[in-house]
Formats: sequence, structure tokens, C-alpha cells
Amino acid sequence: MRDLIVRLDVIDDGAASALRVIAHFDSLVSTHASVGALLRATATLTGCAVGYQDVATGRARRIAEDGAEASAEIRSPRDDWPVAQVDEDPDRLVWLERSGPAGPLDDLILERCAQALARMQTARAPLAAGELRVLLDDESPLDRRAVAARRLHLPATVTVHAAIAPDLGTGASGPFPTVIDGLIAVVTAAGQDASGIPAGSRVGTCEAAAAHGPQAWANARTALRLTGIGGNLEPTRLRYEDLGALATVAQHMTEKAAASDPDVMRIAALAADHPWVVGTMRALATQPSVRQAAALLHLHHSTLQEREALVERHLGWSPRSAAGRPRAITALLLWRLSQPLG
Amino acid sequence: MPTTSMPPTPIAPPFDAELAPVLAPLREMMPGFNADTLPAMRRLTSDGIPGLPPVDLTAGGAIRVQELTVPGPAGDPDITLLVLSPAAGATNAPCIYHTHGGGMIIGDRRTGIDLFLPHVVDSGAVVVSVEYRLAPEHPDPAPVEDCYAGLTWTAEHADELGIDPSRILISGASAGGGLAAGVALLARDRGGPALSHQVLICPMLDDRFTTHSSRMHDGTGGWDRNDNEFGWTSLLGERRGTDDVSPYAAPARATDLAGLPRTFLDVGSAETFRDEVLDYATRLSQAGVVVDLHMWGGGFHGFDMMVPQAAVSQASLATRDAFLRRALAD
Repeated sequence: MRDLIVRLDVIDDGAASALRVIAHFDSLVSTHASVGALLRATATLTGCAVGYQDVATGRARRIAEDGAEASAEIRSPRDDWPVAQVDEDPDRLVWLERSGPAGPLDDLILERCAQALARMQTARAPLAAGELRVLLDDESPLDRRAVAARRLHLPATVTVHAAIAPDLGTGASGPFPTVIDGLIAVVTAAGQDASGIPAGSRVGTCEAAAAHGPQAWANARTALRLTGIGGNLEPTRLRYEDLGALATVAQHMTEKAAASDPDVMRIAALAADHPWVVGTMRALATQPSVRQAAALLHLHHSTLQEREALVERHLGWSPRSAAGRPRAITALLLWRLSQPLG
Repeated sequence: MPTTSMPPTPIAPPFDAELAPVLAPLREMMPGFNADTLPAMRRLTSDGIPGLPPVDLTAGGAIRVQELTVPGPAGDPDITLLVLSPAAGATNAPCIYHTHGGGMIIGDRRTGIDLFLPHVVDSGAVVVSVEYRLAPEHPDPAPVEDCYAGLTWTAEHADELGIDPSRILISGASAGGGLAAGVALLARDRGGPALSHQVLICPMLDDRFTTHSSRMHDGTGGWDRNDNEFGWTSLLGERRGTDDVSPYAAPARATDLAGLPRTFLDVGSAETFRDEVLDYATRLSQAGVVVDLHMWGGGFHGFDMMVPQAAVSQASLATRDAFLRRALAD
């Protein structure tokens, strides 16, 4: 193959060969060839063994000049070898094991290989998913998270989105979102909406410095816990920044603790047979009159009166009385926090 | 130039991602075959790519290189055999009899020979590569009869060459694979030398253009239907595609494949010869021949020679190499 691409003998003093080298790597990227394919092309075109090392993932490859996989014992370049950074990342290097005189196109080939590796990185969803996990994982070291943010081409400040799709896995179009702990995880530049989250999803978000991904992910999940479904008159999207005291309650209230509250238990028991209970209680507790609550629920007010009577019978108190209103709102908050995510 | 005599181009599988980028520069160096480009193509294959050193056939002194002039078919000119044997000498060695590729129209006895050098060095084999006359100056049956004449001379002079006449395998790539298959049929039908194996590397077997794959590349891939039509028409002239073609010229036409030697076949899934190779393998098996068949996904014609470093090429080369090693050790 080298004969085809790198023909230096020809009259054009190597310009055509250089163009063929560039076209070759462009083409490998466009055909979604593998990292191995890029390294093999580099070894073959330079006629020289190639090394590759990614400190963050611990991956190392070594390819002999004929393209054969060689043992990766040499995990870093020698000082006199030509080396290129991938994506300006000092921990991601590709190099030639060239100690003697350089080949005329060595620099160009190595540079094109590094660029192709960087472009391939962004083009490959599975790799992006892996980097996203690293970014949001509180067990990954800070510097490794910084590498992940760089590879994901994220700015210094980001918005972390945690979402639950109405029916995850069906009807989704476009690139399939990354799922972490059963939740859709998306990170965008700060303040941007996330593409890839299906319409109708519950979404919690949190803004943060990219390096603080794990904390932002936890906060976005807290916001998500407080979202609900529109039919219950609950918000479907919440920003952590808007939660205030609600965040404090949510962070201190486990699902189990919330579920053990007697009011919550009664609401849950009632909701099992009557799915309208949560929405009805919220309307009664927040609206000035039965008529306005009925309008909010799109019900005839006599229907709502029947439901109110049923609720009061089961709870032993009225969600519309002066004492009942704050009790109902707090009980509904705890009921929501008792519901598992995902 | 698309030919007008053929029906529309059916679907072709995509090329392997690591192989595909080579096709454009390959076309640049080797544009389609026709009467105008033929002289330049012959220079390219015989002289090598300008500026590149020729392959060292001696493998650094481990191989003895001889050129012998031996009788051709009765009434025809002599032919040249290139003989590569271990420098240390050969006695009762296995032999690889090689028929080179090049569409029946280009190439010479050195074409593709580097594939076999390791077997001379490591297995002590003797390689005999025949220089046959090329079409269109020398149409069928000149090429296949020259190849057969070289084989009979080799078998008859086994002692002199240091080879065991019962351990001659025949091998060729592309047109050379077609010629090897044709020579194997001739040897069977004329009671000629017994071949131990035929190793048919992406062989050119069928002049008829009736299979799907024979029509699926028009201006794409390494050897497209236009190149193939030029090759076959150079060999067969007006007879191409008619009933007047012998199975020795186009082995796909052989109806009786019984009694042929153990066969190794390989081919790319994205090449013109795919279907004729699959069909030949099937019918050989049905005739009771032991067949090894390898189809490499996304491979174009000659992919593992053009892009040897690609993962699929490494797999193909290693598989063929392992078969040859086993065959030579038997």
C-alpha cells in the first residue's frame, strides 16, 4: 500500500504523495475505520513501528512496520522519537519508533494520524458514553474527569441533565442517549437544552463546572426526584438552582423514610385504586375553591366533590381545610420523594 | 467506460472500512484495462512501481534463483521457468508450481512470487513459476497450454530439481488461479502429473458474466466487470460467452469436477469473482473433493496483496499461509 500512497520518486517532489496521505486518513475517518486501522496505516505508510498510549484509559498499542500487532511493552516514547498529541491531550500520544533519519513524510503522517484519532473519538458514540460515565462518576479522579470533559469537547461550565423517558427504549429517534443507573444522562454547555431526551420525559438539571460533574449529576437527580407527571399537576422539569428548601428536604429524605410516613402510606394505598388521588389532592390544597380546583382538573365540580368526600373519608382530614392544606402539600411532597427513580 | 452489452449493475456489499481508502489511489495508478492502457500496465507490473527496489528473490541469500528454458507445447516456442530453491539444496522437496496473475494480459513469472518466498526458506519448498504467453497477442489455448507444458516438464525433471513428484501443488492468484484450475483439469484429463493440492487465490474462472457478482462492479473495486470483460475477450476473442469455450480456459464451465486435487479457495465478498468462486467450491465439494473455502467480508479483488496491513488482510494472509504450510508438510 505504501507504494500506492507514498511515491516520492515522482516528478512532483512529494506534493502529490502528501495529498494522498491526507486523503487516506480522511477516508479512514469517513469510513469509521478503527483505531487499529489508523495505527496500521501509519506504520505502513512510514515503514516504521508505531506506538500509542492513552494514560487515562490505560490503553496502549504497538504496531510493527508491517501492520502486525506487537507487544505493548514500550508504553511511552523515547526522547528522540517523533511524537504527536491527540486532541492536544498530553496524556494521549502517538509516536514513531524512529531513531534514524526521518522519512520525508513522517511528520505529516504522524500529525494526520493524531488528528484522525481525535476526530474518530468524537465520532464514536460508545467512546463518548464511556467518557460521560467518567465525567459523572464520583469515584473517577479529578484529572481524569478533566480529560473526559476535554474529550467531550465541553466548555468550562456545563448543564447536567438527568431524565426519565415516558417509555425508555421505544419511540426514541436519533442517537440513543447514554443511560446511567437507569436514568438518561446528558451533559451540554451551560444553559443549553439537551437533544436526545425524548419528549414527555421528566427532567432534572444542574449547572456546574465540568470538573464537578459528579456533584452536578447528584443535584440533577435530586431535581429529578421532585418532578412528576403533568396529570398530577406536578412539574415535569426542574432546575436544581430553583429548588431552594425543597432540595434540602429531598436530600435528607430517602425514599424509604418518605414512604414510612403515615399520610404517605394512606395516599399510596388510595392511589393504588384511584390514580387521580394525587392530582385531586394537589388541586384541592392549592386552589381557593372547589370550582377552581375542578376547572384546573377539567372535572365537573360535582365529580370533584364526590372525590373530595372519598379522600377525606380515607385520610380522616380534609386537604382543603386551613390545617389540611399545608399537611396535604407536605404529604404530597413526601409521597413524590417516596417514589423510586427509573 | 461502462459496457453496453451488460445488464444494469446489481448491488455490491460495501468494502471493508480499512480497505476502502486504498481504492482511489489504486484507480489512479491503474485506471481501467483496455487496449490503450495495456502497454503501460504491462510496464508497471513487469518493472514494478518506479523508484521501488525489486523484490530480493534470494531472500538475502537463503534462496537459489535459476531461470530455465524448457520446451513449450508441441510446435510452440520454448518457455521460461523461474525456479527458486533453498540455497542449501533440495532433495525430495515439496514443490509449488506457480501460474502468475494479471488478467491473462499482463504480468510475468515474478508477479506475486514474494508470497511463496517464506515457504522456500522455512519449508524447504521449491517454487517453479512459469512464464506463459499473454493474450491478446497469444489467445487461448496458448496461456494454459504453456502452463501445462511447464508442469509436465517439472514433474519429468523432478530429480534434477530436487523435488518429490508426488508432492507438487499448483497455485495462482486471479488469472493465475484460473490457469491453475485449468491446468489441474488438463492434468486430470490427460493423465498428466498428479497434483497434491490446488491453491486458487481469488481465481478468475468464468467468462460468461451470468453471476450477480460478475456484474456488480462498474468502475469500482479493483478488477471490475469492464476489466474482466477486456481480459476474457483478450483471451477468447469472439468466442467469449459462447458455447465454444473449453473448461481448461474457463474452469467454471467444467461439468465434471470429480478427481481433482484437494482445493483451497479464497475470495473477497466485494469482488467480481465472488460468485464463481463460491459456485466452484460448492460443485467441487459435491464432486467429492476436499475443499477449504474462505470468503473475506468487504474484500475487493487482491485486497490482501494491496493492503496487507489491514486486519482482514492479515487474517486472510495468515489463513492461506497456514494452509500452504500444512500442505507442504504433508
